[in-house]
Amino acid sequence: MSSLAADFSATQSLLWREIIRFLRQRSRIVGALATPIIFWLFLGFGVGQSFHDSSLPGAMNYIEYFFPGTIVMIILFTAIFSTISIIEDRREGFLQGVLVAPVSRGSIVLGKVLGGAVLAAGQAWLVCLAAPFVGFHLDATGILKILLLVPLLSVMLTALGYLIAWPMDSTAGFHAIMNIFLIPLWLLSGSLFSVQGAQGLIAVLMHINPLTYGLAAMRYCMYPANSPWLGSLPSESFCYIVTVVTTLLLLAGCFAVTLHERKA
Amino acid sequence: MSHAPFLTVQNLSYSYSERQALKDFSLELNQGEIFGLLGPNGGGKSTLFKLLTTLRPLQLGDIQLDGLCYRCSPRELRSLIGTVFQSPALDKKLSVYENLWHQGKLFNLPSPILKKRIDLLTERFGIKDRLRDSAEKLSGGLQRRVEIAKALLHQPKLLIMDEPSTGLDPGIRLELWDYLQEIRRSDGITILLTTHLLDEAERCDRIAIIHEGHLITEGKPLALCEALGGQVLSVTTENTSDILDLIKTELGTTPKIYGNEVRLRLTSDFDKMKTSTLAARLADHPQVQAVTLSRPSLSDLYLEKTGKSWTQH
Repeated sequence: MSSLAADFSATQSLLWREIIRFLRQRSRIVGALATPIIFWLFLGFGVGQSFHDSSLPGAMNYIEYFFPGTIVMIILFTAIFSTISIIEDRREGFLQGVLVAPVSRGSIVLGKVLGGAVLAAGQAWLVCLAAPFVGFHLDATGILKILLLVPLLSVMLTALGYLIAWPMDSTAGFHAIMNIFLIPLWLLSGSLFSVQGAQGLIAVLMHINPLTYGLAAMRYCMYPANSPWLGSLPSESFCYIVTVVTTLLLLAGCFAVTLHERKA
Repeated sequence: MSHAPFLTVQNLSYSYSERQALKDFSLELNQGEIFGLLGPNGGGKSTLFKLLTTLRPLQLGDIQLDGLCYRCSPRELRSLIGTVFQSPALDKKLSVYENLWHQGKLFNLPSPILKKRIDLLTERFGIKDRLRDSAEKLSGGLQRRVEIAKALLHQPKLLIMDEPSTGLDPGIRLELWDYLQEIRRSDGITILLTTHLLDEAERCDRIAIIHEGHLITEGKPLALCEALGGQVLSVTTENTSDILDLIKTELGTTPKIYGNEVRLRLTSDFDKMKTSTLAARLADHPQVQAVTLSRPSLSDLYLEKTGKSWTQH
């Protein structure tokens, strides 16, 4: 039991450190929160007026269409910024200090992933408060679902960031992965354009992208049940199954890479 | 010695995929001693360090610390060890207090005890007035002190330090050694450190030289030097090649050149008369700045045992 208490203490402390660090670094707040919001406003008002996606039902404007994608982007960016610090921690020697503590490797993974996820979920929820002002009328079930789905996606994307950052020794490498993998992951999740509107390889990539289902689940939270929009999406329960399974697989991956620590 | 050694390293071998870093390496440390590990880079020092701090799992051989074996109880062991890494391990974004607090919680110290420990250690290391400062604002010397305080929070029995003086100026280095002597006296802690500094090695109770994965020699620094025997003739000059030739003709052995120093180790059966006369002649030589005839130092020992000059490693 005492070792479990030690693990809990370590997880708690690592989580606390993530939050303190975040609050000390103003640029991270700007990067994770302001960037997606600006992106959303520019695309929503700019692109929304110039183009019309024929696959979108006429009643919905682009700013509404793009809102769930913005929430996911906030989560993704926060996850990236908090897991990239693993690479700095390793280079600086801070990580070694954590690895020689008498705690299980699992508690280190949890502390780091939950820390990043708390930051991501907190910011995403904050922006969700704006939903009623941009035309979404969330009912109690919708709100409840957001309260659950946002943390789930936050854990999923932070675990993904952790898995990428853990074996890396340069932040430049992480930035490369971010550009060629993480951003496309988001672009091809149905955040900017619907799966129905895509063709060929892009459509295939969108179908196998687990984030597509996370984003669809987000749409289920925000759009009314009778929305024509939801008809074109995979079923809600399937979306949750894919998201939960992906999250568990990624977490298992995090535990595996941390247990098999090679570079110390 | 009647009681069992505090730390026993037995027949340790360790290989990375491409090379063997430690070969049948054994070592024993007594409780309360300050032990220095010396050796060229890539000689196995850092691998041993990683194994002792449990950062890497053992392959062949065994380690026992205070009766606990590394293979059976790594977690219990970790709470007996305090580690100071070569690269700074502080979170620069956190304050000194927060860094220490975080470390204490990683070691599961209850808050009231942790508060007392932080109080005590920051007082002792003279950093109490800097507790609220962010770690990045501290000078290198102060950061090192915080790191040592951090390593001592959970009252480890063994303190392992990798090049603790890296980046510290000589004055602060002396201070650091005073602290080390003090915690050894007050807490009976055993200290194992790696160093590449001669004066630091001389301050250790015992030292060991590791080279190519083997333990080459171990013992008290002075005793090891005395065991070498003989004398060392050292000539500082701008014209190293002429002086080398001169010594070679007079004494019949070839000295070695390090920068602007010509150095010759004389074995115990050397010709004292001939050497003194030569030393006197060299002292008058217009191109010679200094001549010394002295007992071998740790750097001579190091050179003899590893074939590498102290300054090269």
